[in-house]
Amino acid sequence: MPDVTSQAPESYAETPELHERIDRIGFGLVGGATVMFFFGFVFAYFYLRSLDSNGLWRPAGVEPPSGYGIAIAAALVLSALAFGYAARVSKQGRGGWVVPSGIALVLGLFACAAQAVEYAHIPFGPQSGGYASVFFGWTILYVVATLLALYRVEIAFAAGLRNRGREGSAVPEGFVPGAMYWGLLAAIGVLAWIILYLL
Amino acid sequence: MSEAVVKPLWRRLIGFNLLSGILLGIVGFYFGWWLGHQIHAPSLEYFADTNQNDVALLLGYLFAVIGFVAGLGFLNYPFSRMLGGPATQAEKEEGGVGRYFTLCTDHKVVGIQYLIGIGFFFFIAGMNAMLIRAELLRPSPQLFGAGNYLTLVGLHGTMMMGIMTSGILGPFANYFLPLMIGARRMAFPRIESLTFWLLMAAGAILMTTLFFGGFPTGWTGYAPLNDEANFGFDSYIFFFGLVGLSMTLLGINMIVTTITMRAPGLTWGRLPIFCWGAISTGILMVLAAPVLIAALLMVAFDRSVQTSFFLSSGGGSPYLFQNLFWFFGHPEVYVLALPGFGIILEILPVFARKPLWGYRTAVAGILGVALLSFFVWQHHLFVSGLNSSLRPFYMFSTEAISIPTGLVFLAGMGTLWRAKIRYTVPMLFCLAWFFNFFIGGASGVFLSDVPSDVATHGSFFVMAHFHYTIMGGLVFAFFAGIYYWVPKMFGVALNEKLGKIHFWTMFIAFNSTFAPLFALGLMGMARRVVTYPSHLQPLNDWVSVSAFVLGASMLIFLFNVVYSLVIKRIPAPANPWDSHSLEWQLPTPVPVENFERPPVINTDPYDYGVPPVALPPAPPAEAPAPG
Repeated sequence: MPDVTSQAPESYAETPELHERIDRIGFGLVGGATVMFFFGFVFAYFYLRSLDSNGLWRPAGVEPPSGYGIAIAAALVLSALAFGYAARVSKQGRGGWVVPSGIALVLGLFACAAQAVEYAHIPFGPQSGGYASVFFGWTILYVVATLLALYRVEIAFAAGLRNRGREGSAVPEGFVPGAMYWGLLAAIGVLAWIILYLL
Repeated sequence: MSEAVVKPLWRRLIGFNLLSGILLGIVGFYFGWWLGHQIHAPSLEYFADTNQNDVALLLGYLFAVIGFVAGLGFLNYPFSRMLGGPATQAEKEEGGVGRYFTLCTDHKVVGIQYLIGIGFFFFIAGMNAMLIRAELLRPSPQLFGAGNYLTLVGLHGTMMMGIMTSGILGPFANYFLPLMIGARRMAFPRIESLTFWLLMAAGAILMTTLFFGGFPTGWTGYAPLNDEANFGFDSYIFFFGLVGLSMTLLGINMIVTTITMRAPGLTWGRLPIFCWGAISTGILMVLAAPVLIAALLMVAFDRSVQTSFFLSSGGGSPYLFQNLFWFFGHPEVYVLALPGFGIILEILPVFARKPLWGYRTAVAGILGVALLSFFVWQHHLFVSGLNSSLRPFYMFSTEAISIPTGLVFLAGMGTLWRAKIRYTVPMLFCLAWFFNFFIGGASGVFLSDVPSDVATHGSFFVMAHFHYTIMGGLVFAFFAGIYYWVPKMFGVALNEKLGKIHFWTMFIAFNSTFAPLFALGLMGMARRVVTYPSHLQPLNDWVSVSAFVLGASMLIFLFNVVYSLVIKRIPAPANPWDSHSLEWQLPTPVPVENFERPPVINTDPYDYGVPPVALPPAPPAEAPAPG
């Protein structure tokens, strides 16, 4: 048999760089899957809008309150910026990433809470035509996706709290890829605001 | 990596395992069911006058799944991280059989879990097929009636198309991909295990549709029937949603593992072709399955909170569902087929004793199929009011997919050319794969052409085509993989003689079952309809009898499994096929941590017939010291 393999002299070593690479590619793929998931709603929006079946795409009075949309989008952007800053600081090996992580977490939760409050004050229901269907479907699932992504923000924050005073040496794995994913999700939130509130 | 701690049986029953998962799943279901009945909102008032509360059932399923995975122990680690706990790569695991009934981070255990779990649902879906053919022995309803027949067809199709998406990647890629690339584990071991248990939960949920009246839509779940169908359709939504989630996670794991964990020297040009099949399938899973999940959630919203995504009367459109479903559905066909390509091209050189001909061509073919599969979905809508100016594009893009598929065939035929073939059971299944998939592919050309598709749409011709591609492509490759890799997985080989009887029975019965369906389709027999013209009965009876023989061939296989793995148990050599690929260089059983040290790959795995590498001359021995 030909010489297919030999063995390296050193044993397996799972380095932090390997874990970082796994997280980076993994989060990239999760980001791709997330984009495709919300692509379904973008497609539904433009498809139903172009068909306007029975003139019920967007009957009169189906207007979401714009103030909520602005507040939610702003909170998401600020949260992503805060977590991105925290990731940048942690990558430099410095402490001081716990507070911005906490701010990112609070802002993310605020965005979800604002969405819930908006549902209580919105002047139309899910049964109010095609636009209303997309609005409710997209925003409800966006809140779910946001809460799942906030898990990553929360574990960074929790790890920081647990390791107070030595944050520089106790950076949780996957911090930077997690921040990039959170930024992507915030971008999808901004896209939702543009499509659902401005178009 | 993992610590083996064997506890007494009574102690193992208490804790995070399948038993706890089932119990918490049942509790979760009733909690969700109760919660659903407590929710009162203006858009849900219509439930008050019916026996059908979709919100309650959907919440029941949701909490059942949460309870199930919590009982298996999947939430322990996330909660630990939420409290600031450290990241770890593996669970503290029990040894012995208990590993197979809980969260296990050993990829080999997960591979075997998949093999048995998928085999179970494959058997059930196959039994449904037998019942369908029993019903079609007569031209008018005789056993089940039209409604139950539709549920049977739906259960068969949905289970096969859902569960078998992981039919090859689940057992074989989970088990062998890390071994083939010289890794000790998958990149995300917990997620690897989660994909399996989600699939099992999905299968169980689909079965519960029988308690809620079944569903009438077949596996495609088209609107507006999906909005109008009774209670039982909620199980379809949850089943495919969980399958989609499992597929997405499985795909991510495959891609990340292959990219990040390859051994030194294992360049992309030396990567086993099976791994190329796995990662290209992974790409399809990651990009296509989320669209399916989105579509199903829209259906769930339509059925629960009264949105109108798919109702024209409410500003929606049923064609939206067709578009979203087939944006997933057509790549899914290749999710089923591409791992089959990988297995066939992996096994072929071993028994042809020749290098894989045109390795790069084959890789290009596999990747080309994966890429093109995203540009063909609208051929499923040729007769659904698709704008006629779009038809030529989708016709040509669908026909174009035969080019990369042809490259895969070319690589296979080139490998067989002038080879000294060993006609073992895995090789027989490989050769049959070429025959079947060729018929499936060639008949697909007729369905990609608008004129012939319009004539045959919704007929048994379509059914014959996709059974040739999916059963002929996937299931034959699946069995090739089983016969090929079982000696490494279980340490014993399946009996060769029984294997050959299984193969020939299955191959002949398969063709005898599905080839006549082309004729039935051309004669106008429609899919999913329990009645048919009486002059088609002789051919239908022939098909039914052939299908029963096909079912019996699976019993031969099961007998072989019991005979070889339980009764005889003749130990197999570590490398019974004399294969050059990395997984066969390991001892059997494969050690828990696979490799003691990282293997260094010096050449590709298909160098059969290539003269051995000349080793450098050994240095001269030192002369013994005087005295």
